[in-house]
Amino acid sequence: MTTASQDAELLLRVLDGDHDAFNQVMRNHEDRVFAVCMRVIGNREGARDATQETFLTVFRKASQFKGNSALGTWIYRIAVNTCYDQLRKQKRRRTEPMPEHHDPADHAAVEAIESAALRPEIEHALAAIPADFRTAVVLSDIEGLGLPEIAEILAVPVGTVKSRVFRGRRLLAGELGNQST
Amino acid sequence: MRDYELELIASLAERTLDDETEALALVESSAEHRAEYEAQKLALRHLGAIGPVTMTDTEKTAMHRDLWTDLRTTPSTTGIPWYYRWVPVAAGLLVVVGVVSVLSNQSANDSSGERAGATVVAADDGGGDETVQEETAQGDDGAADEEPTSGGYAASPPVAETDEATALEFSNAAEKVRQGEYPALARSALQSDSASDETQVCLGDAGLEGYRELGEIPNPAPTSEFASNTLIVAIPVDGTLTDGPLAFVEPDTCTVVHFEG
Repeated sequence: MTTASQDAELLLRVLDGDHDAFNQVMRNHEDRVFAVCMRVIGNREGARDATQETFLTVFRKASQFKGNSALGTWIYRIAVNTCYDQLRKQKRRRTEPMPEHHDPADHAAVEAIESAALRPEIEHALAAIPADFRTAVVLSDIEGLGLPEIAEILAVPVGTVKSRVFRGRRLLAGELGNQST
Repeated sequence: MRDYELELIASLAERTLDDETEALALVESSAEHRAEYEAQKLALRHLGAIGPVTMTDTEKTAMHRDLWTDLRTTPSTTGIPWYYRWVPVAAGLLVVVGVVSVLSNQSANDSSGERAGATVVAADDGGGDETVQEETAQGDDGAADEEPTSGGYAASPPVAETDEATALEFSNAAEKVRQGEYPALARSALQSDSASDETQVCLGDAGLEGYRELGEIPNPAPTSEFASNTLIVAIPVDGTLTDGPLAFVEPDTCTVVHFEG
């Protein structure tokens, strides 16, 4: 986990055109961004696209980072909004399968998908609840972020975050209960 | 169930309470509260068992490659002031103006009657802003091709389409802003600072050149569950909050969702 001053220094170097600095920003945050995108969007291809789009936006809007929050919080906010955009696009079109020869087969990714399939019930339940509640639950109960930080990411009051988390869990429990019957 | 009760029960399920007495009593007080407690526990148990998800090294390499390819092939406006994009356009206009001026002067020396064509004030006459007016035989229509502006700011930027109910919500919110019901915005309006660099690009993208950000308000009418939760409030740099143009801008898309001239 990088400190605020380390992040600030990296961002200054990014604004100076230092590509290595931006690569470092990506390495510092890509795992968490991908994890959130994966949970919110629900499929690996969409999560990869959203992660890439998130960092494209981070690069292009680096000059707009005000420093009022941690860089990670700002990146999370971009990631969440990017995921929402991705969900909107998915609603409008069907996802075409990737051509087989686009990239070499990634056996590690296949293993990752298969291991996630060991717990399909929670994945399906998460996908079934509204995106607003899903995002709050993901950030709170899976990513372990505090309520004030989530409030900053989602640009809503802390009370709203609490409500979404608690009611999101209730909806999740309902979906899990439906799956077991 | 009241929010306080829900929060208490959720905290009990999270095992984050120092003193569980009150929460336990609440759970035991009714079937509804007990069911809520069981639901919170069930969800937390499943969420806690979720394993991590990460990209593989291959996926990361591919993402980095594709990202840099995208950045190299797509022009970026990061850090470039909005007016830089209009420099080539302005240069082209000056060339056209100069050529037309030369041609007009030549034809004026030859003609003796009323002429139809362009009358141009050349930039090298030493005047301030150059203006282009088209006079036709039918009379002067008075309007330049670009939208009329006054005071150096865009008078009518493009506005996203909304339904009547949403437009009404925005109007009501604008009225509240003008009435000073957002003290931070009212204070910001009294300061004459221009828009910060961070938001200048967004306002420029929205067609709001010459405007400044006062602050943000909660979005009174999200058009979908994915809409921005806040809106940027912008007025002309030398404008006032009580009258004159006021714009609401969605920060994620940099589009104007409401505009009052």
